[in-house]
Amino acid sequence: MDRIIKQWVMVLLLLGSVMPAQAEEASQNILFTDLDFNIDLTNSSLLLADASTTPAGLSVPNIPDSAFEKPWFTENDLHMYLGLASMGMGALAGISAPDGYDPDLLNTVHFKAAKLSWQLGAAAVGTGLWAHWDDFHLEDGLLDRDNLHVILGTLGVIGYYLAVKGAVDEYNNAGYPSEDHASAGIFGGSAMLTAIVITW
Amino acid sequence: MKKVLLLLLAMMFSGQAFADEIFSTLFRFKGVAPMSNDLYNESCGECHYAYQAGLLPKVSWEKLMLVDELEDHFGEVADLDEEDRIELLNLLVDNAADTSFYKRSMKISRSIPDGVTLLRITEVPYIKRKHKPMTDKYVKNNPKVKSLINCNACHRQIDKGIFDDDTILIPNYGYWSELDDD
Amino acid sequence: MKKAMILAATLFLTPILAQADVIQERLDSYKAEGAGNFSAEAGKKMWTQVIPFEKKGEMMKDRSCATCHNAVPNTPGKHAKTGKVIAPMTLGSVSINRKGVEEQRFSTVKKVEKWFKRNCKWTYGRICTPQEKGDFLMFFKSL
Repeated sequence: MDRIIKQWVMVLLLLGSVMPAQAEEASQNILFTDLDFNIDLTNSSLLLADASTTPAGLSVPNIPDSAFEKPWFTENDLHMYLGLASMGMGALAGISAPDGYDPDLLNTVHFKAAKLSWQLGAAAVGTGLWAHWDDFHLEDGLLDRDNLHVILGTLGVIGYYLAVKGAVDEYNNAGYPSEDHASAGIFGGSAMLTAIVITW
Repeated sequence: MKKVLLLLLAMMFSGQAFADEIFSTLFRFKGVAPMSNDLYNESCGECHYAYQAGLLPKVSWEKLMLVDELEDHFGEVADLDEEDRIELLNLLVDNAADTSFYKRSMKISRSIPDGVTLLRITEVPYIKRKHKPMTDKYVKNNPKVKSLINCNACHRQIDKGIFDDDTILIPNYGYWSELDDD
Repeated sequence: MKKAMILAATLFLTPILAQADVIQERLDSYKAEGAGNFSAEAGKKMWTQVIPFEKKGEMMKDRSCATCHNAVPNTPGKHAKTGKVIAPMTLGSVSINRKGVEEQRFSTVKKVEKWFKRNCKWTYGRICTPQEKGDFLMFFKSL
């Protein structure tokens, strides 16, 4: 049952972040009407009790300690690399910021890296919720490093997104973006960096 | 731009094993501090897994390492040379959960209510919570695990202080991600 | 003082002593502490002698050396509580330590005395006399 909630939250989050303009209202409706957070968990414990009466599965070979190999690519790895890549793209966007006005804005490294940074970041948040759902425990308080990681990571992506959105809006309306969007980007970058560092 | 991305991707995947090594050990503070002290690993590891100091707070180690407590160490006699006892006690206290910066140590020490002195690692609320899905079939009735005190039966990178779920391999059941219920 | 000197000297020398020498050194030292002649037979008899064990008014499983080692001590034993496999008590037996290195059973004086102390307390509720320890060592030597 937990896993189902997890799946839904992740799917909704991805939908909500990848298509914010179109899906904003719809996803909110889904979030607040369809998702019942008071799902009775006794069902899943009944399932557990049932499962424990079945004989131990022997299909999985026992691997001695010395031979232990982590699966070559895990959900945790995916989350980590997406986060690092988002961070890296953010940095690249910062470094490649053009000095002056570039008429071909949509083809600059700056724009592409910035756009990628928030998309990768959104994917990182999604995979993070998926892979580390059980590390996220609000009762530990907001200063718990895992909880802080979730908050800062999400703020980081929002910062990236707002920077891109701000610049694109200005570009569409005024023909060229001002430098105002830099602050959101820098905020996003530092939030994400802190998020990564505290749980490294 | 695409080339840069491709290159990055290629680097990430080809160097996966190498990157894994780096990413699992370099400046990592998300688990508990590994124990490299030979005396500790020998004295304690003779009978049970040499649990990291960062798995219990200072007050717990101070009590566990009292002469009288070691005489009756959960029903076993575990007395030590006075010299060794003092050295180990200092080592444990210096690296205890409440003095550690490691993430899981901090979670452990935060989860224990004030004024409570736990002697068993398995009674730490944080650790208990994390092991809730571990029903009897995985632990007690699993001949290769038997009890939660055998951390290293499933936590295969525990020596590095890593407890991440992708380093878990439960004997007779497989990787954490392969379990059919959670 | 002299005893302390001898002890210090033996402790210092132990790393270069082979295990047979450790045993011989222990036997000599027990004699110096007043033990008589040692007998493997006496050791063998004590090995399986069952001691009723009582704690806090509650009867627990009766204990003997064989509870965890084995009634036949040249085969591996199993710890009564943890289930950990215990290497045989023979001179040639080795165990693998945490670093994956092989360790000889009677390799140091310190270790021999540590385990005599712990296991005598566990089994008999007291430390063993030099005579008893010597008998045990003779028994192990005879395996």
